[in-house]
Amino acid sequence: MSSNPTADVQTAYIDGVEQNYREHNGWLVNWLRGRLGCMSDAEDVAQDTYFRVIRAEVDMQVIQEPRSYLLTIARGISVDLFRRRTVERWYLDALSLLPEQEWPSEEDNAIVLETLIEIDDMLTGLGSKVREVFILSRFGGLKYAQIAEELGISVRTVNNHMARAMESCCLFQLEHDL
Amino acid sequence: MSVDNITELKQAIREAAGWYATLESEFAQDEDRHNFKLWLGQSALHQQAWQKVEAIQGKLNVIPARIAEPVLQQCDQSRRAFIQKLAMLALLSPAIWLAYQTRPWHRWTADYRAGVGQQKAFTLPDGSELLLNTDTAVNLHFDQQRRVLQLVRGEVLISTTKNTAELRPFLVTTSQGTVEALGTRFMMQELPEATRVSVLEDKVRIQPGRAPELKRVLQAGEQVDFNAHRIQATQTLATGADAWQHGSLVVVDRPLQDVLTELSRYRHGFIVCDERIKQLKISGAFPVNNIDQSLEALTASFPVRQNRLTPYWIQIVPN
Repeated sequence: MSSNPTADVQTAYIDGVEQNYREHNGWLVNWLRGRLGCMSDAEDVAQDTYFRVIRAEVDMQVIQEPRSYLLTIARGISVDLFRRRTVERWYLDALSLLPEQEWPSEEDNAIVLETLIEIDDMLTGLGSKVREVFILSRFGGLKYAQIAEELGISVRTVNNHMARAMESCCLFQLEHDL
Repeated sequence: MSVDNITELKQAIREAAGWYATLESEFAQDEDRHNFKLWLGQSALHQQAWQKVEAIQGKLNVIPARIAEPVLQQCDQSRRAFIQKLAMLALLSPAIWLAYQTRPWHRWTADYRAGVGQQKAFTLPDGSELLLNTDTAVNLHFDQQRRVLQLVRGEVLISTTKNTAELRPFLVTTSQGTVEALGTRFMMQELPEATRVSVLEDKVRIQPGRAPELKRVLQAGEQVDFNAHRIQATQTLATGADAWQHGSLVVVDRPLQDVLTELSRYRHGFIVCDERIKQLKISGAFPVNNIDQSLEALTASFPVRQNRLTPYWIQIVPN
């Protein structure tokens, strides 16, 4: 046992990741290319996958099935990629229906889109009713009683859903800040 | 930030979100506003939590409502249409299939959820019974044509309703495919690369998401793992497979590695098994609501000991 076990652990950790990268990255890029249909997407996602592994300080050597594990992460990242693209598509769609003077300025455009992507992310995975209540109230300008009637639920449920949606957004933010 | 502080902050956030909802309502009274101010003044933690709410508000304000509403609704609709397609067992392109996956932090926003180490029971709108095991999230998509549960994460035990007036098919979807309950009691578990189905009573029909033509019916006393492309060989239901509903992990001649993997589901963090003892055969019943006790039982009965590197990283090594 050396006199600095922490340094040993860290070195061993980095070696482990590098070895894993050499063994599996090529396979990962290839697999992703088959699924995503595009080489540059595949490379980006593969790179992000390894970033995640390192950032989370996962010890790849204790993972039983490294490829399986990498795939799970890569899937999550791919989902995100498609989600971002979906939001962007609908954003451009919505803009096309508005008169040009109502469009965000050039500078604001990127911020608005990024924020939309973030909000969509925050709201993804909320039960569909919860998300709907939140969107109708916050953006649709409906009152709770109107939302209740529209969705066939009680005002009390609307209230609960609003709380749950806001809680979810805050926790999402918290997770990102940590 | 310490773990305790985060737990407290999360609780405060829950309360803050409750206040947000109350104050947004057209039914908010002066009394509510007054009570909110009292709550806010109670502690710095409350103020911190409220700041989070205000930060979210700020973010939401960036988008003109005229853009936000249609965009967010349409994104949601694309997703929901996709889930319905899944329930109709259509063949799907890889891109859409990938888009179906959800992320870990969404488990606490699902319609039904159980945290790590928790179990929760629910009655569904049709009278079916749903039991969630540790670290599980399920979304409900009942409509007029069908009853769909989306198993986002974790493990469930389902008893479908015996109400003969209920004619809608009952389907459980996962990232791997769809299982149709044919009037039954069964369990499903989302594994990293597969879905496990175990039938306790009657039968279910399994369809892999990308190869629905490979469908198979599973009977009581059978279990199988499947993924989007294939269904593995049907096996006999493992002894004690449903013991978790009574708070117990029951194993017969199971490798230590597997037992530890199972126990770690009920606890935050990792329980890692030393290479040399992975295959040690374990039999016994272990309480899942007291993992420390279970680990002690293991070290008492077998030539192994615990090495706690951090509260979240336990190694089990040879004695």
